Amino acid sequence: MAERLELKTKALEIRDYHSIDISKFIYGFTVDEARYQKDLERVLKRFGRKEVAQTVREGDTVTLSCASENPRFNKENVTVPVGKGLFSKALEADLIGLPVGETRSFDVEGTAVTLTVSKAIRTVLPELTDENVASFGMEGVSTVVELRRYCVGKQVDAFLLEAENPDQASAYVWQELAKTCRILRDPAEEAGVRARAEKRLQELPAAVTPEASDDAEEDPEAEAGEAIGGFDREQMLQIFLSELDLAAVGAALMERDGRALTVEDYEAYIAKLCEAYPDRSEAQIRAEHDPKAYAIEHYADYLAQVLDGYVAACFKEVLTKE
Amino acid sequence: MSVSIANTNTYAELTREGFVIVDFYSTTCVPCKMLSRILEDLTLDYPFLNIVKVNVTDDPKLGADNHIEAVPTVKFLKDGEELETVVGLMDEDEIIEKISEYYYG
Repeated sequence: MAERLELKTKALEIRDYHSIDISKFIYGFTVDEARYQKDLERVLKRFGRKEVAQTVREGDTVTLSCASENPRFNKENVTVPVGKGLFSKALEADLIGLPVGETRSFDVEGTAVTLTVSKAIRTVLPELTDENVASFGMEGVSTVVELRRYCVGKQVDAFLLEAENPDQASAYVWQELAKTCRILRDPAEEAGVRARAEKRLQELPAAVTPEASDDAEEDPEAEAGEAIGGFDREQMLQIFLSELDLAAVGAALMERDGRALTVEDYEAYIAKLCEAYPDRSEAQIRAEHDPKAYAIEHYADYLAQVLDGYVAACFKEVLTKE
Repeated sequence: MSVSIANTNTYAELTREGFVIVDFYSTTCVPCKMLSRILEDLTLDYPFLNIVKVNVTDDPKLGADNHIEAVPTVKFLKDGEELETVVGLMDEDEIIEKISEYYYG
């Protein structure tokens, strides 16, 4: 059995986070039909038939050469999706209706531009029928209804990823969890963490300007060096200190899940760092990343992952109901 | 169109020519997943784009070589030369703006 990485601070008792009500943070989901149409078109485009066109239409992808005094419009064989406005809205509008192979001159943004379209490719979208959808060979998608579910699924994923204030909800779960956690702290450990937190505090810029603070725009009267992202230095110290508590709970959860960190995990981490920073010696890397710091960081990360997962699951429940 | 996964051995070759968007990401990072989806969608709209993806969790050396300190980080390159680096999640319109600026610029 792999040797465990020891973290002396223990969580003696942890409340089950599933019992924490976060409904006040959860909001509903509605399908954005415009976005759905866009995603549907993208999927259909993937299976569309490519045709060589003789006259340019909006939506075609053309290869063109243009000559002008403006360097942006002085190029050979440039690929342009017509109508997206990526190259130039005005020039792309001029292209519409232009026969392939003909050379014409236009006034684009106040500059004379002579251009020739050498190729125009049109994607003809397949008709939306169950038969066509089945022929796409997409996993789990063989009907029009399933294709809609697939496209909407992208919005659902985005909803889960962007769910409003997930950090706030996770932080709330943590606060509630912390209220009932009983954590055994080794006094020696605590002194070490305090020293580490103070060192981190010292490493922060001595004078943080209001511009560097997230809250500075909301609080124009904030003075330089006074606050960091809305926190004063004592609060920052407390945040650094709380890392150990986070790690203690994370360690308990990892152990519960059979994923407690081992010495081998730490050694693999050091090996990766050595490979990434060949200019530093292994001893130097080990000094900068001691096992304790590694464990604290990874256990705390695990806790964050678990809590974010719980919040995401609560959002999913809302989706299922709808 | 191409979306390629680069490692230390292939990175230079994949980014040497033309306009390339490099997406430095990590496996567990949520904004990275969002960015990855946006880039995948863009390759459908703009099939001439070259996108190179680098998983810095799997290849930390390549991340360090490119001075990646946070993910996602997107680099816009032309003929191997770095034009701009953006740290953090970009939305679709922001990326399109960069393509317009650098691909046609």
